[in-house]
Amino acid sequence: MLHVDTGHNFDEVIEFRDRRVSGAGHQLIVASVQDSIDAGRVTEVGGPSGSRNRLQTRTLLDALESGRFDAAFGGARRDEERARAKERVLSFRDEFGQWDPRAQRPEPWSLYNGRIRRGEQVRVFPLSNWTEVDVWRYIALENLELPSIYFAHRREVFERDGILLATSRYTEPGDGETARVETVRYRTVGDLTITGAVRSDAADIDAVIAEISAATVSERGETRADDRTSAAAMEDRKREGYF
Amino acid sequence: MAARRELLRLATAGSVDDGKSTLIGRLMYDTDSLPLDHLEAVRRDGVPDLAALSDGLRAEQEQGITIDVAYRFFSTGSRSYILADTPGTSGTRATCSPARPRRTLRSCSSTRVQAYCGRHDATRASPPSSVFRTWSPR
Repeated sequence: MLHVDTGHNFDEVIEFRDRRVSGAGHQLIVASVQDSIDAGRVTEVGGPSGSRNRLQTRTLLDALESGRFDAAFGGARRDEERARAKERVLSFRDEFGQWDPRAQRPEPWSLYNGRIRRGEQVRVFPLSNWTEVDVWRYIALENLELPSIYFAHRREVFERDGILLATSRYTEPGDGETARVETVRYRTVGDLTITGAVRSDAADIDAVIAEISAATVSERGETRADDRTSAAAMEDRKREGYF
Repeated sequence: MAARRELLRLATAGSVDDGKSTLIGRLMYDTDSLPLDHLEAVRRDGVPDLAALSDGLRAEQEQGITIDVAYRFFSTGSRSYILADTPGTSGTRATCSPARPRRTLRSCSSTRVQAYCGRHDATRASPPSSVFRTWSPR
């Protein structure tokens, strides 16, 4: 299990990660963006509270290379974003970890081509054709455990560019922004500095399914600041080697 | 436990500029399946550019064509749909094949062929009719 750690984490997620790993006998590799910064592999923009979203690509690629991994599984889905809508289940990456949308391999029926040369790799997305609500129906079916932040809870938040950010040691309200305690939950969980909460009373799985079935805004559109830098923000990052 | 849901996969097949991406966009739009932020992202002068919903790559937007398959999803009360929008230009046939529905599933390929054009290279490259139930405008 590989965790690319930007250092801006929700406490609940780290607690959940450590508990799951110790219980299931997995080996956990933590690839730290802070280590990449300290080693001079990447340059931090905007100080310790700035977004490390783009920096983590280098950390990920270094970790995959040092582990000499041929394949890395991820949970990306095609319904999330329009560059992801273009991706294969087995997504080929060249020796620099880069994605070329024009050079993707055919994937007839459920036949997947995992042939790679030394240094190349595939990213594997078994949930490609699932939607957000499919994931939640599966969680209900298997009664899976989740970090508590996916369900409604009280949290101090403030609004920035239409995104509800949590008050934390990395994110504080600036001029003209006021923090207040609201009942929220998270639809996606990423770096704390760019992941927004949604106002919600959904406290269990069934309530979440009902809520997202009626949602009029997509999960990333509602909660992710990293996709908003440009219309092709995801495509550009994926070309660089992002998941 | 929830009732078992049906899954229906649809792929477009047709020549370049026949309207495959627009058809997929329109299906999503008419079934009220588009998140508002996705719709807003493709609004040009107040009107949504439905083809741009699945032509999500930078080069596709610039050239106004589909270069690679895109997948879109929507669902009704009892059934989930996977819509595959395929390219129509010849030379992109290899990229079409991932969109072809799996044999084991009940599936159909929606074909929209402009009558005056007849069939093109791209439509002839469509899979054999034994696998697909195909319809075309009378």
